[in-house]
Amino acid sequence: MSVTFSAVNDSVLIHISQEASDKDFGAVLESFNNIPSLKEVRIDMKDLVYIESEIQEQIVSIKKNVGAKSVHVVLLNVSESVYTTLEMADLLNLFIFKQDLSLYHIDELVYMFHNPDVANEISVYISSNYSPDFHNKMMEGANSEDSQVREHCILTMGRAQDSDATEVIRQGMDSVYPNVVRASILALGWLGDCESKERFFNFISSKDIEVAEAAGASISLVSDERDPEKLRKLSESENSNIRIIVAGTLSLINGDEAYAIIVKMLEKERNEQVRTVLVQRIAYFNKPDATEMLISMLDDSSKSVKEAAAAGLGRTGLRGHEDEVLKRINMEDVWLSYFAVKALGQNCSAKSAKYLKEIYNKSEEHLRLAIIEALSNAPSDMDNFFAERLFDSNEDIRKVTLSAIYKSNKKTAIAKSVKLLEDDPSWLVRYKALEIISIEKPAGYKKVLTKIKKKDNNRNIQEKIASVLGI
Amino acid sequence: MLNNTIKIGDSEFLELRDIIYKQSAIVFVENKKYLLENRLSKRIQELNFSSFKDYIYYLKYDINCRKELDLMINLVTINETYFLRERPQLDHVVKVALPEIIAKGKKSIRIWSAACSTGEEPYSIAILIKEAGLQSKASIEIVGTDINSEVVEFARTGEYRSMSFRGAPNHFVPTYFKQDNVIYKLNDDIKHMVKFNVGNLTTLGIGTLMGKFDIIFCRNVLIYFDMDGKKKVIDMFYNTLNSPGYLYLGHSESVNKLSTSYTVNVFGGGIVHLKQ
Repeated sequence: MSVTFSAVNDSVLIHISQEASDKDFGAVLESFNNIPSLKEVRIDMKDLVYIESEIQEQIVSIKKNVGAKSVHVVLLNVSESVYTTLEMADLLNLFIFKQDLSLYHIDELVYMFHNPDVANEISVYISSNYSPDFHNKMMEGANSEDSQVREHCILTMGRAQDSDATEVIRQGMDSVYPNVVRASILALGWLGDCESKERFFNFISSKDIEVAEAAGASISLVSDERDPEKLRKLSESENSNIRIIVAGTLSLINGDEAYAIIVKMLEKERNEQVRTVLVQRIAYFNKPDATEMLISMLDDSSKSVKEAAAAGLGRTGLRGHEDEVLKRINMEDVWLSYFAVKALGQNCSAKSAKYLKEIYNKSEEHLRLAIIEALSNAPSDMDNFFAERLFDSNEDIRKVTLSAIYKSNKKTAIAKSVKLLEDDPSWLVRYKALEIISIEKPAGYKKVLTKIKKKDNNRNIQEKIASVLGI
Repeated sequence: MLNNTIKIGDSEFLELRDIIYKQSAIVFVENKKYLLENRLSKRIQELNFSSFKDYIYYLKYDINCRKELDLMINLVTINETYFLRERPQLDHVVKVALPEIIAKGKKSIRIWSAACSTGEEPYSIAILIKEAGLQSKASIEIVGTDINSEVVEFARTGEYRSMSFRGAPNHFVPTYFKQDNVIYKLNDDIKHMVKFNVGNLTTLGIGTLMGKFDIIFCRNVLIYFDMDGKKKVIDMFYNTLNSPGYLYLGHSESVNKLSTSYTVNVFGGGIVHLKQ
């Protein structure tokens, strides 16, 4: 059969093959009448490389047939070409589009490993639904001569914690293909294969940066108390890439000893790129010393190091260093100031709020955006300050202000959202307003949205309203 | 180091999609969200940012935003491809299209690989032309263009890794490449058959700039343009083609509803759009 269907509870699944013709749909349409509680029609289109107009018409007639009963029609696994054809015919709004990998045969899934954009997704799907069949197929693929299939089968076995595959995966580290070597190292790390640790250490010096990074990540997963010392030795390498990898590995290990080594590295390091990475990595240590270190790096001579330090403070928190951060906000180094304001804003004190309000008008636009966000966490009443910002000529400022109002006062935000959705010239602001209305669903919101749908020509607004109203 | 993938919110996606569209006319549909996440997360973290929102501000407000826009477009437009991809169309060129053009007495023939990415497509065409011995029958110029300046630079080097050969037969690599550890270097005689340039298909006047062609390849690219962009590109190709002219699109692409000027010719394993 070119069109097959099956019913489960209140849902129908239809599969269409490339050879289907309009005559194959008769029984499908009739079947809907036999399911009074029908809620969803799912149409699997994975085998359609292209779509004939007669098939397109049949799909639309399915929608017409069940749409009046508020039954959703979901198109599954739609190819690019079919999607484009439906777009040309202006039919996208009629359907919900989803991917359902369970409808693919195991061989089809493995074939999809050739598409780098979806390979990871496929791997995650297989590992989450791992079965003996999947195990056998992955074992077969792990011995394939096709390096992409081999790479992703190995990654999948690692993700699935398939310890029976350990030996096969170890062999992958001897491959001439770096992608296979990298995959094997990662998978063995996920499997906690301590026996491979010495080899991981050797791979840290690999010329292939992705292999070296994978080695660092896997070392951190199987590390013990002796490993920081080994990494310290590697940190003395003349190769800056190795020093960067070591910094990353130490931050993943994340103990006191690792922290001490990374600080020593920073003291000695002269390469700006490595210094920046070291500062970024220090922010991953959750300890007061890390905050102190980042504060001290705010005065570094390198702009990128200073910015990394300020951004890192957003991760570690300020731990009583508010004043030191406030005094670094200046109009010259705008991104340093941006990160500093974001760090202050996480728990914005009355003192910080007062200062940020004072400097607002002197600030560049993107710093203003960070200030408004920071002030949304301030303890004092910002209603007047925010109200003025809603009239700013910059659309981002109006949008961020609306978000800030929503954080502090939902009732006001809803009222402002209704107004902005009607009037604001920027779709960005109207979209934010629409998001707030769709979450809060105030009384009469459907009427408001229906009215807006008739007059607002922006496609993003149109589609969002259609999804909120289910039309 | 194995950076985490940063998730993009709905409104951030729509705004970034708008920015990319204005910059390149490329459209990212909703189901391509993951692609932006995969390709931009590393860059966002390099800049010390932790969200797409921060990155969008950077693109809009930084003093070097123009440079960053170019870099971002490069990151999101890399299309991974491989030698002899969708081979039946390539075979059609050397077995049908070129012999037909040569039979009409043409001595100088131009072929355009209009979104050549890292160069596998134009080099595949060059190799098949050499294998078919067509160089002795006419002067054949192959030009590869891509919007992404980085991939064009890569294509010029003619150096590849094993993944570029997943569609190639066993003799292919040893015949046309020299292996240097994990790198495969294309032989100079093939390399010299192809010229590369950076070019955006939706730029006004690109057709005039490129000159006339007898054969155009533009595979798996139209899917990234909206209707208006698709129409413009297809019309530009028509004006750029000589008569007869041959246009090869990706398997999942068609000029259906975009142009009535072409004659569609279906052959075993593919479709060619003809300008008579």
